[in-house]
Amino acid sequence: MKIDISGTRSEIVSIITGVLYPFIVVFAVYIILNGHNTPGGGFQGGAILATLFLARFIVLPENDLDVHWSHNLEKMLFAIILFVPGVFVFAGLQYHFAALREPYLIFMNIVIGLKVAFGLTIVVFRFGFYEGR
Amino acid sequence: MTRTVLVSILVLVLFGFVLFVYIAHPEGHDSEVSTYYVHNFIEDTGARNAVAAIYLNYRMYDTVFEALILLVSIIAMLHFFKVGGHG
Repeated sequence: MKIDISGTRSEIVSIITGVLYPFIVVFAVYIILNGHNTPGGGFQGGAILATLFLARFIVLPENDLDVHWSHNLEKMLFAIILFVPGVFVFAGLQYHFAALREPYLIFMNIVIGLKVAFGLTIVVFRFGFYEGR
Repeated sequence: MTRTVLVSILVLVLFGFVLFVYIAHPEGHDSEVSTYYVHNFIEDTGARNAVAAIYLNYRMYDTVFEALILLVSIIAMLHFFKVGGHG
């Protein structure tokens, strides 16, 4: 059964969350892109990116996320997480192309961040719409 | 009631046993590896954050399985939920 939580919507919360949206995105992108230089990284930035959808769930509780689509996307991102380090780290390509080490770190942080964001978003939507009491 | 008391005693005994094993056999800490990581991670990986250097290069297996844990838990969640799951 679907839980109706549209009656508890607050205008103050909606407006404040709308103001916070861009800051959440900028902060998450900053954390992900600077993960190799400053504290942070893909897992942390992905979790922050997932709070964006949590905030959207609070403001606009509509179950319009296609779970199958985002789940398949997450699987594809995991395939990339398996493949790229397999070629670059495990197969030893990093010893021949030293200039690619930093781009590799940035790319991996982006992929891990997107994967964690999709995964936690599925969890939030699942528990929010089907398991909430 | 008796059952609860017995289960509580069993849990406490197990907890004490695990704590005893942990205290009696401390893990040996290999300081060579950590010293090497701290001194060489910039040249080896190109990262200026030692944590990123370790979890994306030195110990990539750890990160791969960490990402797999999230994926598997979501698959399990979608599978076991009765409403709106994959079936």
